[in-house]
Amino acid sequence: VTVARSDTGTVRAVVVIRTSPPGFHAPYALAVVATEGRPSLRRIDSPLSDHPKPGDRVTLIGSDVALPIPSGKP
Amino acid sequence: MKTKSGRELVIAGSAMTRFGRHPESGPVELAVQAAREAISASGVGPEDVDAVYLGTFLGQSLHAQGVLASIVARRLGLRPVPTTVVEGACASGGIALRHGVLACRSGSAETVLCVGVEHLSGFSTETVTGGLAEGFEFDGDRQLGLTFPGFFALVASEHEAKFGTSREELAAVTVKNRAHAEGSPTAMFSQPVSAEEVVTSRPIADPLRLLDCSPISDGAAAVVVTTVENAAGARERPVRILACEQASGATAISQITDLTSFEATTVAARRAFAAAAVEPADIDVVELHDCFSIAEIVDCEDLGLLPRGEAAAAIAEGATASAGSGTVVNPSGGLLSRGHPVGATGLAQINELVRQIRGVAHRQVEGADLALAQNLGGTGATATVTILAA
Repeated sequence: VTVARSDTGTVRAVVVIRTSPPGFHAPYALAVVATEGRPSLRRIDSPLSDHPKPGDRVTLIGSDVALPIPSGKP
Repeated sequence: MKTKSGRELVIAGSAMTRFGRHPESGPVELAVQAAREAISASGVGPEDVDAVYLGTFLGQSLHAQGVLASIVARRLGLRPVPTTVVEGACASGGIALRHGVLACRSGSAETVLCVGVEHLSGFSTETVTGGLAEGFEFDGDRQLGLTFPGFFALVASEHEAKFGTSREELAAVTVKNRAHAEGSPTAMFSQPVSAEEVVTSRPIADPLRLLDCSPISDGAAAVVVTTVENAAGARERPVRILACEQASGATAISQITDLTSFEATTVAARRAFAAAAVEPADIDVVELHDCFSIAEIVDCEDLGLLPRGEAAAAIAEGATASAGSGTVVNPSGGLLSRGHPVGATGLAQINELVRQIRGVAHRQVEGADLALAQNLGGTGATATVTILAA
């Protein structure tokens, strides 16, 4: 997937859902991501053991997904 | 608060069922039980009730049963009075009370029965989790699989990032509320727990654990609102209603710029304090919406009971405990201990405060003359704040 440099955001809050509603398979991680001050809820596309923390930068894919940016990358 | 003709409004009678699991009853039976007891205690008869407001969140979607307020009114033998179901997620009970108060203030009714009820224990956790998620907007958060434990875990995550709120401070809320509920005859959980038990309980939505979460419950609560003159025959002294306010707020994550505060609570509280002409520091006892441990911390800050960003530490140090010197918060044990039959919670809070002001509560706060209830719905989509006085 190719994304523009501007499609990034900052994680404000993160949760690992372990008890899910019908149609979902826990565990999965969701995060509130701020992009230019605007918050949105995103599904985190990374292993639970390595999901981002508040303050981390993420790349945004589509309207629902966030991909952690490894530390040290711009 | 007074009617148009200048007569003072009071809660003449209140009652609640035990909260917990009631496999032998459905929502109608529970609502009728609480309502019948509230009317009996109020000094007015069923023939005097002019209107019914019934709060429930999932009464229709899970039980496939509409017109609950009319069914309850018929079972109680009321006249063919107006009956209305109100829904505001977890604040449904508080909203039912507000509508009752408004009806009395407007002069369209003199005596109103307000009932709240929910019956959830007959359904799987997955089904109830999905049902409660109706409190999210369908397009967006709900489609991504956000749950209410998940939403409040996000609140805890941001509170930690912003104010340094620790895992141990979250646990202190549950420990305090369970201690308050110890031995309570109406609480679902009346045994104390340790901080270690909280932090090692099963993870539900990180960082929240099982004992950070209010339980799935059945139950009902009811109050009778009328004028002080009509309440002359009440079994116990009527309790004055100084304010009963409501406000709305965000219905989706994308609308929330600050997860550590609920606008609906702050606005409703501001209006309630103004209407009652009192300040947060004047309040003796509070029942607030601790659906999750983090919610009590945020609620204390939103209500102005404790400074913003300092509530978690203050609660952990005992500032709101029954043995402390400040305003006592959730002497009933709150939702975390009493249980959370969603539509009933707002009126169970009122029932507890009525008992506090009358001096007959299980965990009695000495000198409780001025009391506040806060009932929160959804993602802060709605909230009510009610102030009562001796």
